[in-house]
Amino acid sequence: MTSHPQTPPILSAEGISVTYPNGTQALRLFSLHAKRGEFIAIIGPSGCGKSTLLRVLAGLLSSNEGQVVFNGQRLRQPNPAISLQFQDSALLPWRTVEENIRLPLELGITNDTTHPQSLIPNSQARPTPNPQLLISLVGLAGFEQAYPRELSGGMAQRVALARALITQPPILLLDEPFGALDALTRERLTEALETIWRALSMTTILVTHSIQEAIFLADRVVVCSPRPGHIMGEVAIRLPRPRHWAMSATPEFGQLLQEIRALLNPLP
Amino acid sequence: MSATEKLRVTNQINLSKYALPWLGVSGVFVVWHMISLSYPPFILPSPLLVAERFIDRLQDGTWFFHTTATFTEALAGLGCGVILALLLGYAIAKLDWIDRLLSPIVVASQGIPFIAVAPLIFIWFGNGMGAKILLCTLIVFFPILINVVVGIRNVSPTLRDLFRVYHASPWQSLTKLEIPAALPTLIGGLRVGGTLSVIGAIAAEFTSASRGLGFMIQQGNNLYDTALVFVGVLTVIALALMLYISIGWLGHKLIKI
Ligand SMILES: Nc1ncnc2c1ncn2[C@@H]1O[C@H](COP(=O)(O)OP(=O)(O)OP(=O)(O)O)[C@@H](O)[C@H]1O
Ligand SMILES: [Mg+2]
Repeated sequence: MTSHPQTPPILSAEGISVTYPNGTQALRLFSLHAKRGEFIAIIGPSGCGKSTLLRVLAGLLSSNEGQVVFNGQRLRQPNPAISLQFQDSALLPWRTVEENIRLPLELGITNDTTHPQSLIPNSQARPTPNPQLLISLVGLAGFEQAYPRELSGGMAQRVALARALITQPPILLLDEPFGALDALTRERLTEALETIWRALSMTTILVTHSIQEAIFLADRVVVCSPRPGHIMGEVAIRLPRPRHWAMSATPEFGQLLQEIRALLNPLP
Repeated sequence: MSATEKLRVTNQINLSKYALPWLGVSGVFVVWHMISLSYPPFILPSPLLVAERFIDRLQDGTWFFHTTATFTEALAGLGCGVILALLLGYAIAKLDWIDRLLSPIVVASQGIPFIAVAPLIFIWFGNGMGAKILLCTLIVFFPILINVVVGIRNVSPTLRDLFRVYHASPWQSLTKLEIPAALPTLIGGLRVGGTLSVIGAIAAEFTSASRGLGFMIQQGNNLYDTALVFVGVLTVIALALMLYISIGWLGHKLIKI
């Protein structure tokens, strides 16, 4: 994925500050600019305001200061082009896995790329949304008719991921999609996500606690300070794509790991 | 576990599930019969005498006549109460200004002892079926309303956000989120409402009626025909139970979780 420095950002947070009604300041002057098709990973200590940031970027929460600009316009409410996967899965308990994944399509968000709002290039190459395909991609084949109460936490997260992907959104916001997975499934799913991302060239912002996962997936890793969150630094990841977990053994990968660790744990 | 063992376990479960309630009910009848032996029938008729009276009334058609009257009133009252409670409850749950405007009035109105002021309702609205249905509606309305408000307000905020992310219309939010999410609470309210509506109908018939189980019970009271009173009371219990169970069954069919 080549990103041209002169292209304007498709989605940016400009000096966002958020203070909750109870007085907790979650974000302070947070700025982030995502270029079209870019994969950004955000990493930071628990409670630093990452979920809050995604809610602001999705248009669900308005900031006290600053603004979100999407495609050149100020974002004031949720936009169908921006899909958010919630940290706590948010599945409808009365719907099966497949029905949950179909929900965005039922609500009228189609991936119709002839739509004037379509923001995705090479739209011809995009496959039609196929719940079945997504279900097997996230490793849930055989559980189509299961209800959320019959799923483990990690399985529920994968359903939520599939649901976020079903509309093939131009902008994809992911809140720790692999938080509750075992290492092996996690590796398989990050590879699947990277493949999907390359195929659909969605602008993706991923929140994660795993440095390895961030390096593996992202073009750029943003490190967030403890609350109130602001950016402490960022690291460009220039590993070639497609990526494989075998790369995690390379010196480059180790170097990046050290760099991000150092940003997360600044020496006193 | 072998197949026979499994069968034995299921049989045990079925036994305690179905046999125990019947055992309890038959126990009540046996004790009732024993006690009734030492009293005259106008104080406490035996179950056998009650059964005899029931068959009498079944044969001359009056039992069916009174039961249908009460059942119709209760069902109509329940229906009106449910519709009103759904509309108003939804508005209260969704719109703050309606909540502030109406909630104090609605809550205060619950202080009114509807059964005690039933005669007034008949003076205002006449002696017909309509006034009886109105009384049922008034009694049923509040518990269902509360359940509607609680059910809609308790829809998870994250799920609401999910629907906002996907630009759901108000209609889509109602049908695909709010109704399914509130359904268990709604069914709970309906079950209470169903039972109350039968009591409301009886109360109305007590005040003013020429038909209905309430009328039949009062007839029994006036004639010291205690067995007839018991027939009426048992029928009322059966009606309330039937409503309770069928609403529960409906809920079971509708709720997939
Ligand atoms: N609705 C809310 N009301 C008040 N405070 C809140 C609310 N939501 C979050 N907070 C506070 O804001 C801060 C940031 O929360 P947020 O959920 O954004 O953190 P996070 O970075 O996503 O954490 P984690 O990595 O554990 O998911 C926390 O201190 C939290 O207590
Ligand atoms: Mg979070």
